[in-house]
Amino acid sequence: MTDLKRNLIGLSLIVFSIGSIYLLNDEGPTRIFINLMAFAGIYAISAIGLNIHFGWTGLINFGHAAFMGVGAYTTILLIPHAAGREGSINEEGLPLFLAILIGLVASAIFGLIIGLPAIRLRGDYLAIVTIASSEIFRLVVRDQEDLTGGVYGVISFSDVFQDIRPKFLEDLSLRLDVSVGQLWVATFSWIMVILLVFLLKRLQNSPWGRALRAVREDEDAVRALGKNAVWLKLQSFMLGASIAGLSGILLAFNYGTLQVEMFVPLLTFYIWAIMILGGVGSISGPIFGSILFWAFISETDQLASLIFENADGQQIAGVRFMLVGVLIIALMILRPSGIMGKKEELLLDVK
Amino acid sequence: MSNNILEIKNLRKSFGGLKAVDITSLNFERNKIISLIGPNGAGKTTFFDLITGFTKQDSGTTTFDGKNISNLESFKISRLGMVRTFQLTKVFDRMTVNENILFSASSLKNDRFINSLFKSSIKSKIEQELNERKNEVLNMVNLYHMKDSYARELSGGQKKLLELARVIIQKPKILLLDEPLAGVNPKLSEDILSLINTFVKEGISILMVEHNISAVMKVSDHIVVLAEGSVIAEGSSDEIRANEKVVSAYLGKSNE
Ligand SMILES: Nc1ncnc2c1ncn2[C@@H]1O[C@H](COP(=O)(O)OP(=O)(O)OP(=O)(O)O)[C@@H](O)[C@H]1O
Ligand SMILES: [Mg+2]
Repeated sequence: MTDLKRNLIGLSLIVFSIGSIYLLNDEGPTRIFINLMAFAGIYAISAIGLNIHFGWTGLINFGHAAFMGVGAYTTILLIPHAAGREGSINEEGLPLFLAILIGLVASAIFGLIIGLPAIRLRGDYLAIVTIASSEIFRLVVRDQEDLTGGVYGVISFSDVFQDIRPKFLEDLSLRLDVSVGQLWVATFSWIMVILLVFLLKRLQNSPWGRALRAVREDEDAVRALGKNAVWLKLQSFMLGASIAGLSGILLAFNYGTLQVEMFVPLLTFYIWAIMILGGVGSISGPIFGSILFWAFISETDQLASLIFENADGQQIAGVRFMLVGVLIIALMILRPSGIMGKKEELLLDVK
Repeated sequence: MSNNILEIKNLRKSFGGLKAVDITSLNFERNKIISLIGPNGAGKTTFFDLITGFTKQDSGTTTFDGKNISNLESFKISRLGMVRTFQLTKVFDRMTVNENILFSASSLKNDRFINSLFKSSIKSKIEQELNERKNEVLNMVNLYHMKDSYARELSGGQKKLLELARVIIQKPKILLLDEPLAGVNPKLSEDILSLINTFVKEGISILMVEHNISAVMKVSDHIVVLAEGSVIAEGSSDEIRANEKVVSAYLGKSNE
C-alpha cells in the first residue's frame, strides 16, 4: 500500500467521523468539535511518545499515564496555583516556559529512574515495572497532600497559560461560540503536534532512529555489533517520557484543574488504543488514531442514548469502553497494521 | 605483542550441575582460520557466548589482542574488534538489507542522539560514505540486488550472507562464526568459504564453529575439538582425522 493511499484512507475516516459530529449534534457542534480537537491533540502527543517506546524501540510501557502525570505536576506546581483542601494559594512561580521545560526534564528523569533497573531485563519485566511505578506515582501524589494537593488536587493555575493567548483567538471564539480558553489549548496543542512531527521525521530518518529500530528487532545482534543497547533503550525511554510529560501538562490546562485521578491506568490503556488504531511505528499514526478515537468518544453520548433511555454517567462509560473495544477489534480485522502502519513493519503480528 | 590473538585460561561455566565449558588453556594464533568442532552440546556456542560477554563466566581469564577482556560487557568486547555471528541468524527482520548493514557500519558518534537531531540525517555526507562502503560489501556477498528488501524476506542462506556482510563491514580483528554453513547449499558454502579465505588475507583472524567436516578439513589451518566442555584434541586436519578420541567422540568411523 502506498503512502498516498494510506493518507487518503486516514483522511476520509477523519472527515467522516468529524462530519458525523455535525450531523449527530444539533446544538453547538462546533463546541464539541473544539473540545474533541483539544483532547485529540493532547492524546496524540502522548501516543507519539508511546510510539517511540513501543513502535520504534519495542519497549513495553504500561505506565505511560505516570509520565504524563510527572510532567503535569512538576510544571503546574512550579507556576502560580492553588492546591489542597483549603485551596491555599501560591502566587509565586517560575515563568511558564521554564516551568514546562523543567516538567519535561522531570518526566525524562522519572523515565530514567524506572528504566535503569528495569530496562536491562526482558520486555515483560519492563511492562510489570511500569504498571507498578505508575500506580506508586499515583498513590504518592495522593498521599503528599501538602505538596500536591492530594485528593483535592490543584486549581487556579491556568492564568499564566491563558495570558500568552494571541488576541485574534478571542474574536474567533466569539464568532464560533466556543470557549476561548479551550480554543487556545487546542491551538497550542496542535502547534506542538506539528513541531513534534517535524522533530520525529528528522529522528526517524537518522542514524539514531535506525539504531532504535535495530534494538527493537534484536538486542543481541545490536550488542554483538558493538552498540550499547541498554543506553539506546534508556534514551528512547526518556524521550518518550518527556513527550508524554508535555501531553500531561496540556491535559491539565485543558481541564483547568489537576487531579490525580486523571492519571489512572485507564489513561494508559486509551493511549495504547490510539497508538494501535493509528498504526504502530508510523509518525502520523498516533495523530489519525487520536482524532478517530476522540470522534468516537464524543459520540458515545448519542450512541448510549440509542441503547438506554436516559443513560447515566456509568452507562455512558460502559458504552464508551465497549466502543473502544469494538473499534480496535474491527480495525485489527480490517487493517491489522493500523490506519497508517506499514504491513512490512507490522509489530503486532500474531504468528 | 604475542602471536596469539586470543588466549584462554581456566575458563569455566556450569548450568546447574552441567559443566558446559571447562577449558584449562587454549590459545588461538593470529591470522589463521581455526575451527572449533565437537558433538552437539559440546559447549561450542557456550564458549563463544563466554568469550564475547554474552554469558557470564564462572571463572577464567580471556586475553584478546593483549587485553584482559574477562567480564567485559559484550558491546565493549565487540568494539575492541572481536565480533561474532549467531548459530540462529539474527538479522534485523523489519529493516531493509541496506539498513541492516548501515547500522553496523555507522560509528557511535554518528549514532548519537544530538548528532542525529542537529546534523546527520540518512542523507548526510557521512552516511553517503557509509553507503559506498555498504555497496562494496553487498556486491562482495552478492546481495546487492536485494538491498531494498526487508531482511525477513530473505532466504535462510541469504540471511547468512547478510549477517556476514554486517560483521565484515566493521573490519574486525577476529571474526567468530557460529555455523556459517548450516543450512546452506553446496555452491553457496563454497562461496562463503572463499569469502572467509579473503577475510584472512585481509588480516582478519577467523574462529569458526562448523559441523560440515569436509569444509572444516579443507579450509582450517588448525582445528580444536571440544567434547563435554573440554578440549580433547587440537592439531592440523590430518592429525585430527587420525585421532582416535575424536573419531569415537565425534567423527565416526565412516569418515576414515
Ligand atoms: N542457557 C543455558 N541454560 C542451561 N543450559 C544451557 C544453556 N546454554 C547451553 N546449555 C547447555 O550447555 C551445553 C552446551 O551447549 P552449547 O549450545 O554450547 O552446545 P554446542 O556445542 O553449541 O552444540 P550444537 O553443536 O548443537 O550447537 C548443552 O548441554 C546445553 O544444554
Ligand atoms: Mg552451537
